[in-house]
Amino acid sequence: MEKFNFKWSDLGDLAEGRPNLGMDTSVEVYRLMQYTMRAVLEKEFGDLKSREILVKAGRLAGVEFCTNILDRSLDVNKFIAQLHEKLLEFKIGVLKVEKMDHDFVKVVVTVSEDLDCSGLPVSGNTVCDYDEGFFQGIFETYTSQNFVVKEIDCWSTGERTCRFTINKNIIEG
Amino acid sequence: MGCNNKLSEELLNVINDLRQGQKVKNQCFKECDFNSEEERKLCDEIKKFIEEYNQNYNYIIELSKGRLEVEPPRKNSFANPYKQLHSELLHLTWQIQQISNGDYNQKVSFSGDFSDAINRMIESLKEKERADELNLKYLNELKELNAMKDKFFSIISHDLKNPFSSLLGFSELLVNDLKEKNYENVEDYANIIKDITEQGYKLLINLLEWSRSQSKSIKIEMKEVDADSIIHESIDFLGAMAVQKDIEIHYFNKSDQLPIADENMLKTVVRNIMSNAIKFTGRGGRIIVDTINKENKFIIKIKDSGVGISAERIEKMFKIDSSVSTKGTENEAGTGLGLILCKDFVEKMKGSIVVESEVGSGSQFSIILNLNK
Repeated sequence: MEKFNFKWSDLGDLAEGRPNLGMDTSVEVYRLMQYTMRAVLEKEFGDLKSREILVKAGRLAGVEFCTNILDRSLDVNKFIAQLHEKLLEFKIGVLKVEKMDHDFVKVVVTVSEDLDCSGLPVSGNTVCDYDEGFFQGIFETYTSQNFVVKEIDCWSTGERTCRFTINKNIIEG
Repeated sequence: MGCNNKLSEELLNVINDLRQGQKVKNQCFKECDFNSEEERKLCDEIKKFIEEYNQNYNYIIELSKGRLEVEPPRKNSFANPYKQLHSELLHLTWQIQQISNGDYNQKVSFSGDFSDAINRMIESLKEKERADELNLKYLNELKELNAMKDKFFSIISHDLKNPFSSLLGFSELLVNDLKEKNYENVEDYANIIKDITEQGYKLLINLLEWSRSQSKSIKIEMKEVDADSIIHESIDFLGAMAVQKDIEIHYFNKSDQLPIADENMLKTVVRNIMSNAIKFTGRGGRIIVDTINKENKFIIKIKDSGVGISAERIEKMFKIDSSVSTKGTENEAGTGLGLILCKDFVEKMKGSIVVESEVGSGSQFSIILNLNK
């Protein structure tokens, strides 16, 4: 994976830095940051490039999240259960598996009450590019293999839940 | 029929199909059917509406047949609530599959009463699994206890009785010969009595240590121990036995560190393994004892040029329920208890024993202990 100048410890010591306000903030503030950032990126680089940047950022976050928060020694089912718990604990969304084959090649998951998009106005286009990268980073770090993640349903396309296909990137010789 | 009438008639047909819950038939409009651009637009919208409605109709029909593999229509707002239900059913199916594979950590959250029933079922499965595991554990413990009891009685009734019978026999012979002042065999009888007594004493010591370890009354004092002295002490103790069979014992201390062990337990282990090496090595053989450090472990290797052990026997000889005594190269007796005791003690010292052997080419027993606390 491409190297970026970021590590988990760059998030700082929140307990020391926010003794009164603590760990929580509002979803509005999170979205304010993401969607203003997205607007500026779109203006500067266009829609495709800004989506690409958001996927990369999400992937970096997924790698760090998996490395620092998740237990990678668990078997697949326990890992998914743990991921479900952690996404709830961090109030990112409600993860549900729709399909998962035995060798982990094709997975379909949904995320309800998604931090990034649930409740957004319907625009007809998916917007969870950051989430795509986030799942990609998590699955790649857990398996040490490449994955392609695609959001196929999103609140902003009029669905009530986000749906992602997570496919192992098998390069055939 | 006027154009307006045609459009109205077709609209009525669409509404009728919708009211009857039927798939809507495709409407065929011609250019002349429209009086204005607005009518053409209205007609296009009706066509799109019919297409989306029919797609959703087909989707629901497939879902109602339980075909969860059906692909939901994309960008179709009619389908959204059904897609939500479809998604829940897919997730539920996946969860049930996980549960059937023994993953009882799943928690179902689909439709109140249904979830409650499934979650209660998972809890009882979990409870049953716990009970089964516990039963299996108890069963294995009982089996082991039973094997121990059998072994104990076998030792008492056979291995401990035999030396006493021999002692009684030879003592009687000795007394009779002395009464008759026949001194010809006295020395032989005395030596035999000494050998039998030594053998019985060793057996008693092992038996006592084993029973103490089984009753959990044995205290383990883990500290750095002088393995070099323990090995020297064992060589001295067993020296006479080796000399009798003309066996050479060579000892090379290649370690400058002290292992963490219980001194008395380590003595028992070294003495038993060395005694076995002598027992199963023929006249004129050789035993090499080495100590080395490797990967933060202290290893005592006892290698003999004896008869060797088959892989099948190696597997059995540390198990109480399958271990059997084998006579030595000169019919030395045993109980099959020594190695069980060694394994038990080494495990209590957080170490292990590794056996490498080939029938006819000798054996090597490695006692592996930790170096740091």
